Amino acid sequence: MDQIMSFFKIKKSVAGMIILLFFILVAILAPYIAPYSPTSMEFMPLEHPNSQHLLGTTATGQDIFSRVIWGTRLSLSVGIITGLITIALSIMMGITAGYFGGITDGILSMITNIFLVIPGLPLMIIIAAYITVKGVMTIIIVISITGWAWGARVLRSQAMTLKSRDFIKASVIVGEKSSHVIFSDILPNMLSLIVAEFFGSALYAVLSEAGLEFLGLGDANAVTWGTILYWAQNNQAILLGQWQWIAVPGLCIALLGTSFALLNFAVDELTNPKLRRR
Amino acid sequence: MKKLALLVLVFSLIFVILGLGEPIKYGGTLRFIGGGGWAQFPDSMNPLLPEGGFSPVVAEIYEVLFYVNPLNGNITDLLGTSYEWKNNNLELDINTREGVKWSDGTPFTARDVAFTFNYIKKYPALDQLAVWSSTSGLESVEANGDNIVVFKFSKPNTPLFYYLSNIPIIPEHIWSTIKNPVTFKNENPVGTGPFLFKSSSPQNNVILAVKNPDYWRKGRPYVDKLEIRAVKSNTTSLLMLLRHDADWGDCTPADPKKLWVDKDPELNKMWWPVNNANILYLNTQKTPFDIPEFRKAVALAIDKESLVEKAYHGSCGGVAHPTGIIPSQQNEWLDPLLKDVNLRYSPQKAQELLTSIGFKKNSRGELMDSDGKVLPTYKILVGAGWTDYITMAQIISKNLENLGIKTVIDQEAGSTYMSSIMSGTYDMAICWWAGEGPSPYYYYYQGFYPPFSGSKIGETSLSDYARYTNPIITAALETFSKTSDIHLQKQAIYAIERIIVEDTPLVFLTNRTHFGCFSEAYLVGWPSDSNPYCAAEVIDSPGGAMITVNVHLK
Amino acid sequence: MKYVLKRITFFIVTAWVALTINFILPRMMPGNPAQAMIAKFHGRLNPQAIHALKIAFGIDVQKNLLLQYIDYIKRILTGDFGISLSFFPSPVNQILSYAIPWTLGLVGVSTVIAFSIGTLLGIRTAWRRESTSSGIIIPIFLFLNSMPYFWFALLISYLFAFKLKWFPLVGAYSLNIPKGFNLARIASILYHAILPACTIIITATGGWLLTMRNNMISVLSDDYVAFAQAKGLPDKVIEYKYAARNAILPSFTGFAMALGFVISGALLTEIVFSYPGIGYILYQSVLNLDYPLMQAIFLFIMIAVLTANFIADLFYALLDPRVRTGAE
Repeated sequence: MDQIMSFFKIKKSVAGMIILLFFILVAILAPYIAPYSPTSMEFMPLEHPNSQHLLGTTATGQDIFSRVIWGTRLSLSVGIITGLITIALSIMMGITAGYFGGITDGILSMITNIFLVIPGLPLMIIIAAYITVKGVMTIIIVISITGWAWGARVLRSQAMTLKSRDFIKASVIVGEKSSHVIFSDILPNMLSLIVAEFFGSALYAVLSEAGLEFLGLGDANAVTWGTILYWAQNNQAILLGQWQWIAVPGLCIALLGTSFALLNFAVDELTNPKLRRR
Repeated sequence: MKKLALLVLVFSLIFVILGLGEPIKYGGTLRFIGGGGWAQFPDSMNPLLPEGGFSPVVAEIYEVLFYVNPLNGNITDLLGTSYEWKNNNLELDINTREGVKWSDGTPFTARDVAFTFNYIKKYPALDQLAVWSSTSGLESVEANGDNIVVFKFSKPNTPLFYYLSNIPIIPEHIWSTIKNPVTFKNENPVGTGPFLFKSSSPQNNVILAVKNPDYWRKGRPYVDKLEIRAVKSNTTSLLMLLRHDADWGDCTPADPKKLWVDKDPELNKMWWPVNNANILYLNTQKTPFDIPEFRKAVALAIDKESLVEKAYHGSCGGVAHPTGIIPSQQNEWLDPLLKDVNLRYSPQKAQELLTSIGFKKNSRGELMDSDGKVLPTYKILVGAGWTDYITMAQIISKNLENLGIKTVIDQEAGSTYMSSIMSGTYDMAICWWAGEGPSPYYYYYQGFYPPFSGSKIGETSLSDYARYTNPIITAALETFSKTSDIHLQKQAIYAIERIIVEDTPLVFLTNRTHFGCFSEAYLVGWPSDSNPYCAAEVIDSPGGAMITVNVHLK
Repeated sequence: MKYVLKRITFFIVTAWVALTINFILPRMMPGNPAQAMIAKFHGRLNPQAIHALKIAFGIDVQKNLLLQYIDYIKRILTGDFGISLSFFPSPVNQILSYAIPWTLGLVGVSTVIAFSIGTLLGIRTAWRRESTSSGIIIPIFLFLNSMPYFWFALLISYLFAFKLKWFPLVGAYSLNIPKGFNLARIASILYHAILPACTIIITATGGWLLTMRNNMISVLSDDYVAFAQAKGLPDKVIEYKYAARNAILPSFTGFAMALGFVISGALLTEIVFSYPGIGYILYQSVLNLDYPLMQAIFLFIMIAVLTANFIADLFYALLDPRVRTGAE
């Protein structure tokens, strides 16, 4: 409770929370906010912003404002779901390796290291070639698979440190099961680190999605901020004078990313006693 | 036809010289910018490797026998000066040009031509146009004296002339000593063409060439230098053109009129002639795509006008003709009776056709086949990141939904896309005609000739992506290739057209074009509708080389 | 010593497993390089060329996987990576020799600069954490760090290169300068590198800033810093000599990894600025199933990252004895 209270005392965390909540609200209320269907191509193409189309229309006659609003859903989901999958993988690999040590650690650390050194982008292309049903899920899987290794490394070393602490040693001596020690002793004590890693991964996911879409490797048919940018760039939106088409989705990504980063920052500050005021 | 072409050329030259009333200016540099296919120029200048396997300047260094304009069949004589089919079309004699010298001073003769053809026979990896394949019928190529090359055939194959005339001729005195020509990089190219290689900078992706002072065509080229550059994105090449940092680009702005021409209508010219068509391939080895009425219903259900507008901003040359014949060949090759045939968007007619074969919608609006089974969800295959194809697939998907057919868009990276199309594992796919050429024969030949088709799913179909064959089409293709009589050839093509209209083996969507963006800031003489001396091909092809000898300072 | 041996064994086994995965993965992709070539040219290439291409590429002979694997290991050991397929017939080594220097130059230098600026700012903002300037700097850098890189680069390139014409739009140096090593050339190279480098530095600095700031604050609360202050040492000495020196250690692992990954290039930068480098070549090699080129680049990246990692580990062990006796 204390922690939650002080969380709100940090200005940065409040700012991060507000931005994130704003986007979550937009995502939930998308059907009510967006005036049109995001995929309908019925409008005049390339209209400049006006009262009917707040952000103008795309080259195929889609309402950009509606696309940005609906895009919030998928972009946010990509960030959050990928963050969750990534952190789950990191916990599984990192904590198991750090807690058990020995041969288990050897094998798991090696797997972690291999995923660290295999270049992400080619791996993404190759994995994408196998998944037959293309869509945002593909992107989520691909980014999660290529993104968990760094977190696993961090969590592993943290688990190793915790393991040598007296209260954990005590649990082990009393004869608690490993799963119990991990879930009730180790995990809670690493919560802050896990939350921080989660926001870090979510930021990485949102940016990676945009990057993949930019390269044309995503699902150009889906409505996300990344695909809006992709279509804008492919239609040379800037040269057409349609600045808002490229600026708004880019700013949305940057803002959502900033909110993740601010929260990451705040969690760090909050839970690391040394980071708090002297 | 050839003579006529020559006359046209002479007259147009006279017209250009007299009509403008002032002498053509010499000098200047032609700057080309490429945005798409080239990632990094290879430093190979081996002209026998595939496009993309050699530097783009190679087509200006090595010449071919004749340039056959794929739009209209007009022939420009290059190293060949005339040709004649003999002996019931079992022999082709080509006269080669006299007085031509290789850039190292050695005279060019017919023996070099014979050597080139026998060379690619010896090294099949270099036979990029498959002129020696088992289906071509080519038996031997020999020089008869200094100026005649004799091609002998085991069976008549007159359309092969187009492929034969497109092979770059290499000097025997240099290539006869090369040990492994397949990996030979040919860093000091010796050719007969209008330009000489100067230098290349792989880091900057730039290649420079200079005018060949001893070029056989007196007074050409007009420009002194070529500067060929590739950049890594389409937008960048457009920006380079807009900044007048380039004169000519193989550049595909989303809306070329707005983004290029309208920015400066005086100077910014575009010529995007139709050379191909976009086709919705239906896998005819899968049901229900094996039912002609079903295919026709699909064709009728698609709003092709909307594809032209939304996917191409109207710049793709319009809706494709239901026979697939490109506009510039319709006058000569389209059966007058079929001229007005069209498959205009009509969901209602499509619905009626489906009803006629027993396909009905159920209460949920899903289409059921004649046994009352709901059709599965089909995939529409497109290349990942190909925005025009993805847009078309989105519209087609919506159109088919009205019929009760569910589809999803399957975006695959290049190699996966092509392998699904060739192995026939796809349901529906958007792709192009596999063949191109100066008459519809070349499109139909690659598209329907049985040796290029896989007999069952999984077996490779080299170019018959729909996996459709028809004995009448096969017979007509054979009739065409046996004769050099244009009237017989026309009848053969008409026969194929009728089958296509009746049977709808392919669903034609929109036309496809070459993408010539030209700037008249410094240079003029670009090809255009009124002066179609080539088809606005890219600089790495014989058609592109035609542009380099025609443009000059303004 | 035992620790070092253990790390070396670990290094070799990891490298071997990763190499094997690099061999298997691309070969499981559907399609072949000849088909990729047809797709790449969007119909410009006659499909009849597939036959010839297959012979040229050597994919007409179906060698079994084990033979291919032995061949692959042999190539790695001899350093002869064969001939690239997507840039046929250029040898892989030659393509890499064109691209790697530019990547090292641009991405390497930008990474070092971003790390230096980020770390310095991290020290400053931690030392003066109550100041308004710190309160402003941090959110700004977090924002810059959260921008989609290519989006930022596109806007910068459009504004400064296309509209204002202050900088060149494409390329690594100007065409109109004499060949060889001279001042004009160096100036031209630097001039062309400014925009791409700036975009990398601006978007990457935020990450380093945060890491350093947090490390620094941890250290500042340690006893010896308080002791130093009590001794009356000047602030500058405490800030840099005592605190920053210790705080920078954890940043080093990340920095070493980043340096290792420099060699994988900066694909998006290369695309936006048409700058030469390994990123685009890797991307093309994967899309075009150019196994020889792809494998060579994978190998270089792996060696670079593993080596950087290895050095960071050793360095750490040297400075912090606890690591040696820990759970390792």
